[in-house]
Amino acid sequence: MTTTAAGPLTAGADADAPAAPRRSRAPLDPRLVREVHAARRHVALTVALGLVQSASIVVTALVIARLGAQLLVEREVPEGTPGLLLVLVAALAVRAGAVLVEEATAHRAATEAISELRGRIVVHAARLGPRAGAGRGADLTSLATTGIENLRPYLVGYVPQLMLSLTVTPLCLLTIYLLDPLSAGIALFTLPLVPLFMILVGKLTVGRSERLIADMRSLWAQLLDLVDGLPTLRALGREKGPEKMVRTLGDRHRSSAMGSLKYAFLSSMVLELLATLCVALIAVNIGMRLVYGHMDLAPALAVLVLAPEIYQPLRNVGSQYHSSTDGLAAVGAAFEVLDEPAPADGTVQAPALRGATLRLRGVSVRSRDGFAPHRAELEVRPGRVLAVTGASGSGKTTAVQVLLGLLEADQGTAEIVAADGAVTDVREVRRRSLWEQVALLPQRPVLPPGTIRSVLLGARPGAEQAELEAAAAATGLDAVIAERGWDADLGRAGSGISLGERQRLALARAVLSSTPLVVLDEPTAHLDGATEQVVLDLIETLRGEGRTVVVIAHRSRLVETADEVAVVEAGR
Amino acid sequence: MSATPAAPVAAAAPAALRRAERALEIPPARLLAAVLAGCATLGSAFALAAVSAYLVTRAWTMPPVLDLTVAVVMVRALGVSRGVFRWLERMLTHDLALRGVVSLRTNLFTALAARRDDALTRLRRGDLLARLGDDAQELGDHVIKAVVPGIVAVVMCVAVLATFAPLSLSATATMLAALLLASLLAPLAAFRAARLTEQAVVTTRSDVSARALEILDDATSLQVDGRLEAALEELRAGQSAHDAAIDRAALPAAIASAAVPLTMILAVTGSLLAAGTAWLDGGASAGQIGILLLLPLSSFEAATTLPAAATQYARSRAAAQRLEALVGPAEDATATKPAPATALRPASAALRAVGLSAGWSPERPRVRALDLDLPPGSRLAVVGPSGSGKSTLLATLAGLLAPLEGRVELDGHALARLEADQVRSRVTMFAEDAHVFATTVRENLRVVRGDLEDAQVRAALDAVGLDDWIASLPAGLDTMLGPDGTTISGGERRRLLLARAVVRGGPVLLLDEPTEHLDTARGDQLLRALLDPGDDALVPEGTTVVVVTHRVEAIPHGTPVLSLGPDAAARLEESR
Repeated sequence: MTTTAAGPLTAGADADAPAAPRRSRAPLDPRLVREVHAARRHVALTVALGLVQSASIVVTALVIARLGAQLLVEREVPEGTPGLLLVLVAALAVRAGAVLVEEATAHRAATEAISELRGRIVVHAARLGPRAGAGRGADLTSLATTGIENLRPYLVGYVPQLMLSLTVTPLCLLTIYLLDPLSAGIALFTLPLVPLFMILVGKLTVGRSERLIADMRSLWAQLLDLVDGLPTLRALGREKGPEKMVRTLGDRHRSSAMGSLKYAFLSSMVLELLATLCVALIAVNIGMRLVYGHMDLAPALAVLVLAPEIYQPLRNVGSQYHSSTDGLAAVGAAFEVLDEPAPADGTVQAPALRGATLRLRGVSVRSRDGFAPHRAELEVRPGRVLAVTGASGSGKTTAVQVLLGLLEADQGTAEIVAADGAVTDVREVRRRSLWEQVALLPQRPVLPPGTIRSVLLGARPGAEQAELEAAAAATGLDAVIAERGWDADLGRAGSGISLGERQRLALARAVLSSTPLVVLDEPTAHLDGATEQVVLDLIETLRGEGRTVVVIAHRSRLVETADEVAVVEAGR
Repeated sequence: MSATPAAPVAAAAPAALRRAERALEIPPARLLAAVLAGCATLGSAFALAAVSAYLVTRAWTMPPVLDLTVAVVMVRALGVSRGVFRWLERMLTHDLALRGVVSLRTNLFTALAARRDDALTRLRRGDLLARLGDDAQELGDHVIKAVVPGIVAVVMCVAVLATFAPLSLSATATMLAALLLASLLAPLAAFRAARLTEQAVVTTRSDVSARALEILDDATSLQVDGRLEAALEELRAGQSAHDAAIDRAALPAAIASAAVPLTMILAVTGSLLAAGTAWLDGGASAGQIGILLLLPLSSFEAATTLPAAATQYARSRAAAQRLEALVGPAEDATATKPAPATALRPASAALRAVGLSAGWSPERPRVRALDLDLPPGSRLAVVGPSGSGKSTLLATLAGLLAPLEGRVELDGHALARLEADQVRSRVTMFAEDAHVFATTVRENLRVVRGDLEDAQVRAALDAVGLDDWIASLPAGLDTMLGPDGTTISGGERRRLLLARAVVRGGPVLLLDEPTEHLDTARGDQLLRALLDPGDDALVPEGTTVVVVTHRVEAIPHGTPVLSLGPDAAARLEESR
């Protein structure tokens, strides 16, 4: 999964690990700020609130030091100067208020940014077509589901702290310099050690977190695969044993994660070390000068209050390190998907398919090892039945996807020849206007949720009961209905019924729809052998209605019934 | 999740979380070590603030430098120790959490495997993914963000009060009030709000995830069907509901963060006023006054982790409840009946049908009063028109469907009386929608039999006509397949599953239309290899094979053929 579903790594999510210096990746992704409005506004607001917090920290320190010095030196109790006491309370209250506003607006910004990016990813992936997920495995889905949620800790936790380190740290340092230049010198001496040690630790961890993430992804994919295959493992009587695999996978991940974290946590150690060391050095230094009367008490107390504040934002940034890497990884992955050019929708209205011919000319689509199909030629003439055949893996389904404008060919063209002879490239056609005229039955049909009746009615709204019954009888669905009834709930995506029954239901939907072109992808694949007759009869019915049929088939009888046969081959 | 159904849920939640915590199998010794390291880390910072405040104000009184030596050494040592303890604490806590997540996932998987089939298949894949991923992780975070910091915070609060008590009772009292406010009231308020909202958030987010997954999986069909826009609209609606739910969590989260700076006002002013009294009374030294002045600012570090811990606690509870719903009540998962001591021969089995009527509903039996005797090594072809019940018969013989009348016997024992895994280990049925694992081609076959040699793997792939395909793959048998066979074609997938069923072997092999995706010549060849008892390249001689097929003409001569008629009649004859 993205870093996300990444599983256990995220158990290290709040690790205090600034780890490696951010090679090649800015802590704020410029595209995020540029393209996502909510993120841009959020950054501006956090800078402003950072300045407010800096001011109240400095005021708090100065007033406490002043009150303390008054008390010890002049024996003047704090309630003797109520104005100062009031300023102190106000400064502390302003700081609390700024924190409140910052946190609340950060959540709102994160919600907007996540919502926007998820929507864009899903829409874009759908436009990319059948192969959008190819080569990404579970990554695309996990990005759209959980991965993108990583923006929340990034925007809520990391970005504000980053902005505080740009405001609080320099302002506290400046105040210390004005009070006591020597202390500022100590702080300035330890501060550059932070990047120095970070680089050293970074050299130690180089490549480790990438390896960890890759490792985690593959382990997660394997675990998911085991879970997906659980029904199969049970059918094979092998469901006992894989849990050992789950533990082994988990233990492997844990030891690899701890191996990385060992080094990653070094950087948090260095940060904590330098922060406390700086305070300790300043305290001892001030103490020594006070003993010899080389310094006044008030600035000494103020410096002591301010010293830890220099490092506090840096430490918080460090503790949010994983939020930043996970968030930036999600942003990167999101823009990687969005940057992939989607086939543009055409602008031309598709010609009426009832009189049009669809054809492929020399169409090749790249596959794992060459092309499938390779230089496919086929012609779908109106009112005719075309069988597309070829060996397994030759690209029959892919060829038809190109024909329907679902996928762009790497070579060759798909065209529609209208009744009047006008030729249009499928890529120029407004897809919706084409698909409205097509009923597609994929190998594993996807049905809308609902009952048998509502699913059938979806194909022809307002159909009479008699029409539904006729369609059910024509596809052998009547047997299923006799057993389960018209109002049997199919669950989501037809998961409540078998693949064969789903296929019959999809066939009945094709009968009920009145589209001029019907595409059947291996329609007998999940039916008993002799139900082939149902499909053959169905094709006859469609032919009788003057509808065009494309049938992807292995079976000789299906091929025999066709008016024309196109053979698709793979090639290199 | 409105407030109304929340009441019974709230009652069940702590129990669910306790069960989930047990499933994490956290060793107490490791937990103690993590807590000690956490206390040492925060203790270092607190002590550094106290000693340096003492050092500076004591120094202002200009004592002999030697008087300050101890304080100076302590300040320097504490300046170093915090970082080291922090590293130790991070390592111990994360190791603890990662171990917990591994145990939890393993326990979940075991529980899932023990659940009945339909419960598993009815789950949306997106939900399952969310449970095993996010929710299991949530419980790992539970250890890191709630359990360890919670215990550490309690210890640290006591330490803070113990430090102030000898200095000034009134300062201790205000500090106690401030700490109580910060470490009880703020997290409690955050928890109350977070629990109500986060619960809604997680339900709406599962919904968003499931919808997004469905669109991504089936974009092609949805597009052509014209249902994509509607699906996207549903996704947007789900997202809006989710946004609204998660926005409700923003304010409580903000209050929780602002609570510590807010209560600090009380602690700082209270301690400041107490310092005034103590100094004028002459009861306190300058060093002690320094501590009273400055230490309140450094006393809340442990408390700042508490709102996050409370939020995590709410999330952990919700996650634990979802996990409980996934695996079912605990007793379901653990109650396994002891296997009856039924002696079954492992290598071969006699399958018998006695007066068997089979069908999905009693009113419409597909097969009636069938007697069938299949001693080990039998071959049988089942033919008949569509709807005559061939697949139904096969499912009944496999024990997946209970007989309407009569019984199926395996080695003389009625199937219904045997344990499911005893049946499954002997009767293999080829299922067309079985899972293709995201591993190598070889491992996809070895998943059914770990001891398979490469030669046997190749023989099986040859037999189903996948030899050319294997030869074309870049790494041959070592080629990795995509998740659930998405990188191979439908025909290849089906034949791979067939090869798997064949190598699985076992005493009884039931195959439904195995030749479907093959060209005619290859299909006929495969049918002969399966049905000819003399041909043991594919299946050993002692294996009983039942094949449903429509290619009557390809059935080898002499093979018994069971013809199923339209009126549930069955006729057994020999192929000529």
